[in-house]
Amino acid sequence: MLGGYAGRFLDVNLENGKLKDIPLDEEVLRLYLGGKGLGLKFIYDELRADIQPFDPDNLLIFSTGPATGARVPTSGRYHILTSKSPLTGGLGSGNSGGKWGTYLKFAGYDGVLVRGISDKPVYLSIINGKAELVEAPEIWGMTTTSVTAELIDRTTKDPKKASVACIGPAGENLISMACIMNDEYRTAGRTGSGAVMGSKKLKAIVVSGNERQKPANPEMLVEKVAEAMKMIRENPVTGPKGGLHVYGTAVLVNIVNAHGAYSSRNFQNSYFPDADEQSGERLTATYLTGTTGCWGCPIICGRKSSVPEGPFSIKYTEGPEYETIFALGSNCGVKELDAVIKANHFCNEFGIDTISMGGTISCAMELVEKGKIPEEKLHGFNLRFGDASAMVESVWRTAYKAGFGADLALGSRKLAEKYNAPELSINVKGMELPAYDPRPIQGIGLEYATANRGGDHVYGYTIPAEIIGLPKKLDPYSTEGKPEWTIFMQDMGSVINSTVICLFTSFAIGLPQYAGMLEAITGMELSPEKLLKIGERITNLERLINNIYGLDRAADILPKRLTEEPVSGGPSKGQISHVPEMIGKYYSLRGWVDGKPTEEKLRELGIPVTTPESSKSPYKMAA
Amino acid sequence: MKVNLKFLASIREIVGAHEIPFEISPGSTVESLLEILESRFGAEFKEAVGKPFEDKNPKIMFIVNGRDIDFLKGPRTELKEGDTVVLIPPVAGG
Repeated sequence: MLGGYAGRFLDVNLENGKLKDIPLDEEVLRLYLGGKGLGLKFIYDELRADIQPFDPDNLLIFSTGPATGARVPTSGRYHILTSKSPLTGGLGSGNSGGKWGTYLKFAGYDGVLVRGISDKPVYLSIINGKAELVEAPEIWGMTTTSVTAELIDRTTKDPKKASVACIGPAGENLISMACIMNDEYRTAGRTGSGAVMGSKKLKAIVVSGNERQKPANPEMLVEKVAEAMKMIRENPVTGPKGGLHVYGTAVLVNIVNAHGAYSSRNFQNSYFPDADEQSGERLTATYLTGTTGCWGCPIICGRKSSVPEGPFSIKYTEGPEYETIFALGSNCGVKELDAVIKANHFCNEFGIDTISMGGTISCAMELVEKGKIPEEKLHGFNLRFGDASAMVESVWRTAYKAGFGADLALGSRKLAEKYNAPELSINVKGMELPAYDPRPIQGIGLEYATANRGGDHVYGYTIPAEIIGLPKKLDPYSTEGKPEWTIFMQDMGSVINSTVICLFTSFAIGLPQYAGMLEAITGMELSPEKLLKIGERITNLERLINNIYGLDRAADILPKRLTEEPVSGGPSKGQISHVPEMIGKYYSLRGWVDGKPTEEKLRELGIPVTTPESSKSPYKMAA
Repeated sequence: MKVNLKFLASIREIVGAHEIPFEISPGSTVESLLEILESRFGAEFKEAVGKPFEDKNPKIMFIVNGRDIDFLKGPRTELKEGDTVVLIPPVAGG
């Protein structure tokens, strides 16, 4: 067996309660590494084209990588996949930090594959290689922080020795934007995986153990880790006095706003005049109580915060991150940071993705503003841009489908369709867009349009190059070189999410360091080129799965607001996204036709090209 | 003429302000503005910004009216009445 792996997945069948080990195939690991790549392979091997999000055979996969739990920087992460997302109708995917992934490895497994639907609510316990399903209707309904405390109390009684991944009420209530939380405040946020977990009646997975996976080449690992750590520590962004540690991700608020790319009021504007009131600097000066980091992380970008008094007071919470401040703040026209902190806390407790939540609230606010929602449908709820209380109230209403919350729970795409204004949902493939207006930043627009999981910014994170100048400076207004850079970052993102380590390492280190550390851990002979090829394979396999579901070129588009309505004011006035002009080149460089990999491309990458026998789809490979 | 200066992250802490209106001579460039700021805010500021137009990894970025000056005329970018100039140290997020 290769180094760094536990060598097995746990197959959990909730239909009959049976648990069994799946030994990992070394050849598959060489092709897909682990994490996202390995999870995709499991999904592809059992794919059914007409699967629905809450069908029993929609697989829910928790997948670590060879780096998870190894002594490499930021190795506390894991990836979550579902065969089908209830939010997008495509492949579901999310990534989270904390310590859960590491503790799963220490418990003796590389991953967990969940199938079926349980009759009664259950949780899964994996402790020192012993897995057990426990019927527990009494924990159904608990918020994420409560159930985490409860399950730690029932197992190790020591929060340092156990870790819990779970859903909150939003997942139980099958809310399309429900997420899976771990370690209380860490989130695999996007594509509604929490609703899939809820549909299976699986409330949580608690993990604990002492097993350490051995690296193939310990001496080489020490050397490669030392090199990477030095680069991370000396880097002005990721170092001990760096911007990420001192201000958290929220430091981007003022920076992106300065570029005229901090959207507000459901992307009607690209500049928020009150941005400084919700900036990282303001968070640090006013609400920060400490910092916190994931397992094995030298960067420590997490925020501990509190709001001591007022209507949004909260004694202790974590966050908020940059994306959350945008989504629940400026995009809702809300300037009050204390309200965002409170809403973020509710999202964490109920298990809701903050980006999709904010995108849906802001969509609803615009629907109300434009008179699209009849008064009686609001049940007295006064939902307006800039109303901080209404924004906070929207979160718990969504989690419990309370009043108008039942409409918010649909997510913005279905909400806007319901009220005959689909153009007011700012989404790609049904997923609400993140915190960078793509009109003045051309590369990120292409990423939003082409990312396999929908409106995503971190599959191919072009922002460091386009806004910060890392690792090289690209003109955000220009389309030149953007298809190439987007592809490079997407494939490197696939490597990072399959390794699994944190994207933020890429501010300081790159493929040579990833290849060196992975070679030392696994014993595979790796190089930057070989790693990038693995990344390309993973990106293409994910794309193929979406193709089989019927998603192709028609799904790779931005909302018309971003390609047809130039920015109306602020620093980026007049800018517009040029995705339609870039997408042809993107496909050509990818070896895709109309958004589909050709058979030739799939063969080149070693992806089996036969449509699964069980497929009922009229899917055809691109010629 | 007056321009609007904004200081972000660690530079804000050194300057002690987020935003200040600032009087400069007509025809001033970003380069000449920096010289004035270095003399106004002293050694700590000077050390923090380094030599942004010479360093391989500059410690400071200048954004004028939403554009990185590297995509304008660099340090020779001329400033006009009412321009907004933002000084950003190396930071990132996600």
